[in-house]
Amino acid sequence: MSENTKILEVKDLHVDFLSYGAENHVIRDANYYVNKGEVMAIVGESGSGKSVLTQTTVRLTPGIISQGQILFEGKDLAHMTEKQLEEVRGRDISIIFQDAMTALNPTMRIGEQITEVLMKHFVFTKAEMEQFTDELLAAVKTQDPDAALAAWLTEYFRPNEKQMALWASQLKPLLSGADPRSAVIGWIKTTGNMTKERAKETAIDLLKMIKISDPEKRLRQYIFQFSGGMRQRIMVAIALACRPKLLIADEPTTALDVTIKAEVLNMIIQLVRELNSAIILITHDLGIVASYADRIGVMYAGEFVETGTSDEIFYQSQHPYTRGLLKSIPRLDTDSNEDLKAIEGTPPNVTRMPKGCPFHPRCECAMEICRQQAPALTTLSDTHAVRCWLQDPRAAEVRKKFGYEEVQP
Amino acid sequence: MSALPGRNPPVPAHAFRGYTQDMAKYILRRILISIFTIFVLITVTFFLMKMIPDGLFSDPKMSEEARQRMRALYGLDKPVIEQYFIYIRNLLHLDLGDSIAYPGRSVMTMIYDPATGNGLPTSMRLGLCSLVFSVLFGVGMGTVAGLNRGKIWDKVVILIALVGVSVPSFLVAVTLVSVFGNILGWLPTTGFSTPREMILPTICLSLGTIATLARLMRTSIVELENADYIKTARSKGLKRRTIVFKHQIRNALLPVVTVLGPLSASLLTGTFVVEAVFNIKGLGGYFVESITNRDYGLVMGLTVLFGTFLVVANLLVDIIYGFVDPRIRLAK
Repeated sequence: MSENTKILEVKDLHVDFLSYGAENHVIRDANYYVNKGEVMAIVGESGSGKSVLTQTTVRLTPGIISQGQILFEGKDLAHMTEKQLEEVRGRDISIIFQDAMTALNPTMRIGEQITEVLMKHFVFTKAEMEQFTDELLAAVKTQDPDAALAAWLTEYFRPNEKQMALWASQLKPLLSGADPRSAVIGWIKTTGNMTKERAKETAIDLLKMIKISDPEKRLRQYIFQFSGGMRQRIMVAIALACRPKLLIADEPTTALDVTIKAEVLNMIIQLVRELNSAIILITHDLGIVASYADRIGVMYAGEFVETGTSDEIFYQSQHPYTRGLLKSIPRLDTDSNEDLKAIEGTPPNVTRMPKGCPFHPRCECAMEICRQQAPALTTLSDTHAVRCWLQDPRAAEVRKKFGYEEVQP
Repeated sequence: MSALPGRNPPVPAHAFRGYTQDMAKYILRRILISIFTIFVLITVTFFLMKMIPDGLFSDPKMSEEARQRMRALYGLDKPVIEQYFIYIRNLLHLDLGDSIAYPGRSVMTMIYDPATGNGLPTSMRLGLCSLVFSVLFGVGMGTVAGLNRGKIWDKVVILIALVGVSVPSFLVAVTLVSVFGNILGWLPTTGFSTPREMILPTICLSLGTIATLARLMRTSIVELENADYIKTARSKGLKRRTIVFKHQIRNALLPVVTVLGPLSASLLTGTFVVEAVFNIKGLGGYFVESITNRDYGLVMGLTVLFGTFLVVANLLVDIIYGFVDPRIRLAK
């Protein structure tokens, strides 16, 4: 898999919500992308729009997309029909929600909740089988047959490593046989198509993968019979059941006991890396993303105020809000008697947005211009961008006063 | 365990039972509680009835001697405690005593008359028909309304529910009789034995219950529309229909199941008006008469009967609830 190919790219996204007849611009001009196989973190306080933004990415919110594109593998999710979206959700992009206790059905057995997503996405109609077969036959003619076969299997059947080897060896002779079309269709019918038994086996494998013992018995249990950490791991298993290309982890460890936070997060990252998938990690805690994230987007009041690589955000941050978040992380090397610095105040309500830069009422470097006009995005490097008036050449003095050294290109 | 003496801490034997026994244990516990409830009900009703002055024998025209004879005949001359034990003993033999207002008839034959088949079986049939009808239509209408909130079907259901709750059943009954029975002549207006005869009484009796259930189900469905696990189901790419049938309706039914016990009791005891309008020979008439006649034997008998029915209905609801909601069944 080639590096730095964008699997998801959100361009100039504006999302509005209707409440009490008024239109609220909840997400304004959001731009972000996720590369294949990378960990992208979105951080910000509660109410900064992280969850709304990512859930709107797969169109799970009732928000109205007034402008912009959501490109997933080149296809625009913003203009897909509900039926097309169903094919993407759960199969290509899946979500881990914050609290598994409420995010899983209390009256449905765990096993059923895992297998239903497999049965949804890997049971095919006759027309689909024919279409897949024709695509395969066309691909092996023009490309390297082995690579084409592997890509085809991954796209439609999401095999694990063992299945991949087995199925490729079954299919190869069929392709060079007398009637490859009906032979491949026959293979899909007998082997590729998901059955209840195979779905159950997959569910058992998933429970083993998330280290839950006695999986066969556990599959027949309900969510309230599991401990907090196990619940969240089951949520992970369900999200990864179809081996998605992108996982959105929406504060996956916030509801957990502090002693198992790291364990669950480590498990998520490790499993996603094994699948070679990308992950969007949403959190309000910059501390936990430090060790995992390749790139970080900092959100405030429905906008990205700063985006950059992990290093750029941690060592060269240019936005006063990002700096405020960084100062609020407890560190081992600081004097333990020193108070942690919190950012004064609370994020603005979306119905009463301040004029100008939304952060200016809480910003220690706020200038007159910040009260009057919202800043534009300034690009500092290929990966680093910031939305702040301090970047304006005329603000050099204030920038120096507060210690925002210029970033050398 | 004897292989490791002293190793295992003493653990009661039931700690080793399997999960499958949980439901049986749950049901057994509920049955024992129900029996106790019925016993308390009988006792309280008995002593309450004893506190009311006995009307029939306080007629000033009756001689003192005749009054004593009557009291002895009904066993009322004995101490109250003794009467109580006699009543309980008779009750265990399914003997509910004699009616005072209808001399010579026992309460048991009034509740069920084997000669004519009138009484409880008829009321029961009417109640059950209405219960099934109400659940099907109430839950169905509520679901349709909840899933189409704010649209035309929602408004239709809300209107029907409002009418069902606010219009008294005698008005509905008389209107239905005159429209479908007399003007259109489609359906018979008396009796309750053939399926065609059963239609109008069932609708009359169910209307209020349908309204209650529809409103409850609608609220429940609407609340779940925003539930986290419904969003999870959507994030899995499941079809809307699958989500509604597999995830939403089952969970939305939980509050509905809770009210089924009291509702079915009210259907059985609320048959007076419908039985009167359609000339159905059930228990509804006795239920009202027995009070105005101060027919203590019959009041006691019917109270015990309906009380037991209510307790059993609630027991059934608890058991159904256990099946629908695993959290109840498996709670320690």
